[in-house]
Amino acid sequence: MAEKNMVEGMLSPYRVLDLTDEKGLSCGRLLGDLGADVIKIERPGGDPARKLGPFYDDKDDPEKSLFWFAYNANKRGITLDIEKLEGQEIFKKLAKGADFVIESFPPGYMDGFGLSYSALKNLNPELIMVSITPFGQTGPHKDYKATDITLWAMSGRMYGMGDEDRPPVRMSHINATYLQGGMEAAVGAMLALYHRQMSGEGQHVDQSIQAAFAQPGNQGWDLRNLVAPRGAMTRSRLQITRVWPCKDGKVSWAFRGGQQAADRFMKPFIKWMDSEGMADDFLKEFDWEEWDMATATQETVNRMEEPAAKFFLSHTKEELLEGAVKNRIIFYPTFNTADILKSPQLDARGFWEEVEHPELGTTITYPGAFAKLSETPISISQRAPLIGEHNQEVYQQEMGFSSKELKKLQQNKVI
Amino acid sequence: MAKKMLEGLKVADFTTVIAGPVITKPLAAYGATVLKIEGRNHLDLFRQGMVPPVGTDFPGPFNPWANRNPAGAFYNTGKLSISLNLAKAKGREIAKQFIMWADIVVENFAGGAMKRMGLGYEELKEIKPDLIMLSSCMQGQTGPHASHPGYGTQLVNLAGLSSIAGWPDREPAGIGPYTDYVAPRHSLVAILAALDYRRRTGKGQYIDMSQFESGLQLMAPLLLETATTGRVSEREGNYNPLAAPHGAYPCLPTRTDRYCVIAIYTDEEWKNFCYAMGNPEWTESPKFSTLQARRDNEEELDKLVEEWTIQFLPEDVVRRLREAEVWAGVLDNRDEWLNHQPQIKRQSPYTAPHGIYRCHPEYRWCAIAVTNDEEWQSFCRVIGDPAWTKESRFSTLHGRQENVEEMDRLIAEWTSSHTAEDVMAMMQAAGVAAGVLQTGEDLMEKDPQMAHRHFYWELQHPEIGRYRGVAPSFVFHEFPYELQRAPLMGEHNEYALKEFLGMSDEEIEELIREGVLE
Repeated sequence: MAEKNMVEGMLSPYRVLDLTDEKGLSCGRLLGDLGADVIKIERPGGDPARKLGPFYDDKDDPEKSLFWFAYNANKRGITLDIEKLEGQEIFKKLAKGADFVIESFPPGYMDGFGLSYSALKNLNPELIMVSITPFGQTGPHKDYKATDITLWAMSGRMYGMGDEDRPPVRMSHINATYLQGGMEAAVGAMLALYHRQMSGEGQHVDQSIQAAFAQPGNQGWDLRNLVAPRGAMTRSRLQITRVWPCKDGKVSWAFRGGQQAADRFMKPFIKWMDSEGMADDFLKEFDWEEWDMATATQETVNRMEEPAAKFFLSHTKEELLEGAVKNRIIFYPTFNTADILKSPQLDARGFWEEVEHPELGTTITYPGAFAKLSETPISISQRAPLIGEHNQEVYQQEMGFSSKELKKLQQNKVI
Repeated sequence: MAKKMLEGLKVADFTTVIAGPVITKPLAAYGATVLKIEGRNHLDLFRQGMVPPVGTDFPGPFNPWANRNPAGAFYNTGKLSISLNLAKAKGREIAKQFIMWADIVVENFAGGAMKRMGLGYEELKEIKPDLIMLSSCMQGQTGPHASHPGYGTQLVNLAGLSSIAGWPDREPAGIGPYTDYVAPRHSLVAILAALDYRRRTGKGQYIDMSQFESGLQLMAPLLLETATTGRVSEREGNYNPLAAPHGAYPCLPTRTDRYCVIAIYTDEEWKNFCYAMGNPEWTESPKFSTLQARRDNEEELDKLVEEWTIQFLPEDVVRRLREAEVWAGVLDNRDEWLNHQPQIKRQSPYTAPHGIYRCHPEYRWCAIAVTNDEEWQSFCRVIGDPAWTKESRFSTLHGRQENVEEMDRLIAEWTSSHTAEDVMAMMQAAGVAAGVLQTGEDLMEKDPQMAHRHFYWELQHPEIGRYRGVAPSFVFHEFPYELQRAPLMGEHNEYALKEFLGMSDEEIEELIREGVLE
């Protein structure tokens, strides 16, 4: 990867073989962002995750999945059927020279092809194998089937989400549990690398997606035997507005009392309203420190909400965000993806990256680096690979297969 | 116990609340020495009374319970604590000495705060070139919004995560400080990679973590969608992706609660629908010629459909549409329709059934996701092969998607007569993905898998008593970690100053006298 070598990344010396499906793609993407040479190994014909939308041009085409683009940038791509004997031999050769293998097959699947961690460890004692599965490699639920929604349910994160009068609800569109599992697995991979530098030994990282998503814990139950009912996060005795219409959208804000709220939210907000002549005496003279939500009346809430509603309605999302920043008040408009693409802050930080897709004859704007690094900045140097795009590069140029051998592998549907 | 993985690694931790402490928590579990540098001057919100301690009433605006906040105890397991007054020059000087001692510095003040204290990376780098430092804040250390303070609970609005959480007809479902669990993972990957880079090159690294930008990594496919198609996907809760128009439309008499329900799935039905309406001109528009086009222009479409339905009694609309072979229904109350909308459909257009189903007793739920026809067969066997599963409208995936509401109602009839645990066990035994909607009680007391992985650790805290922390979510089978309780505020003042900085008793006494130690 000539381009990548130009900038030494934090993980440039390392090679990663990425066998994952949608459950683990975010792991390899992170390592690739940090400069590792990540080779996405797909089954011949392409990975099933290529079927996940949304799609470029709305065309349901394995080379146009925007989900695929997002989590396979900074990877190279080859095809290989590890269910075939010849494929297994090739995989072992690759594993000999690799630092990491990431996989998200059901537990035991790799063992079935002689590619278990212990088998690969014999070939390459320094190899770090990262297995990302819904529940982990061992234990009573290891073979349980799962999808994103069942993992939301099992992790405890969905119980409180949504409204009392409707079923629980999860986040739409994104497989949030999988993305979290992949990110956590990358942490495990990095810890294993640290240990390898100390000991010379590789190891097996066993990532549970359920546990990754259950990280917030359950102190309510732990200390008080409480299970917060659905909607508790947005419910109270009083009718309190939490999302307000503004000129061109919505903004998230709620009146509340107490020292913290007074200093960080209420007083600067009222001051801002007042500077535009929109705060009435009731608001200006209100004692926010002393206001106790437990004893507050609906009448008081209504009294303060009325001028605020007018204030929000007279401003755009953009104005409200800029005002919040300027007046150091903690609140934000409810942005959607179109708003985010216009964010002046992201612009100023040079967040967006233009990535060329020559085969589509276009350039696409991508969300940029997950962090800004002083010495080894992250960038997208390689858009997500096409199916088998780097077969020749990897098999011929790097592994020394002849073009005749390559053809034969193709005929045998190994690649 | 075997030597821990990160033994010898030293971390100066200036972080508070969640997004920072969650970065250093796993480092402590794996054996790093993590020193939480805190003080009354920059008091951790979780040293305060935001969460009332056990057995007390709400503590009011300011509180004496610095050590009893359960969230603080939860997010700071295994760390040491020094209470240092950073408002004093001497306090900052000692903080700098701890930075010199450390391999890694982590902070999550509002952007630029460390710099103002004379502890910015540029300055520190001069005296410690191989320093690895991570600053995590809302919107990054640079740009016009850099110094804006905030919390994840609000940031989710800016990062678009709220916009995709919940029901389309209601405000976003509260997702809490979601980004507080995302940025720490990106942060840890970067810190640990930086250690490797330092080992190889001798160079340090400054990591500027914008929790906003980190959160956007989750939104990547949707941002690409908007960047390429202009379309904005928002929360879809109950929404049915396969139909447009789709919904409850008002009818005569005006301003009553009388509605008709319409769902147009196929282009054939669309043509019939247009015919039933008398082929008004707008139906010819390319804006409505395909399902995708109708979904894209749904707002406009709904308005036009409404202009038509409002002229008739719902019974008349239904009769006209049924004559044209378009499905429709009468509704006497709009809420009734919204409330009977089953589960979460739009979220997985590839599967049906797919959703959260009410079990027995009625406050228990189980998620079920059938992903292919083979699983559908297994699913049918589990629920006893009732006659409706054989009907043509449910026997194919397409049919199930088209009749998803009716199907979900029939499924719920079965699930509601079983416990959630039984539904899960029966489905899993037949190879169908299913999972109980677990509560804290389920996870902590009942989930055998979590117990098997020793996810929850029982800890003893001198002021809180028994409480539980959580382990990292990955397991190294050969390398154990250990969770230890969180420190009391300033518990390790003497220890840290003596052991890490080599101070004498006299020096420490002076610091106490000068109010540098709090």
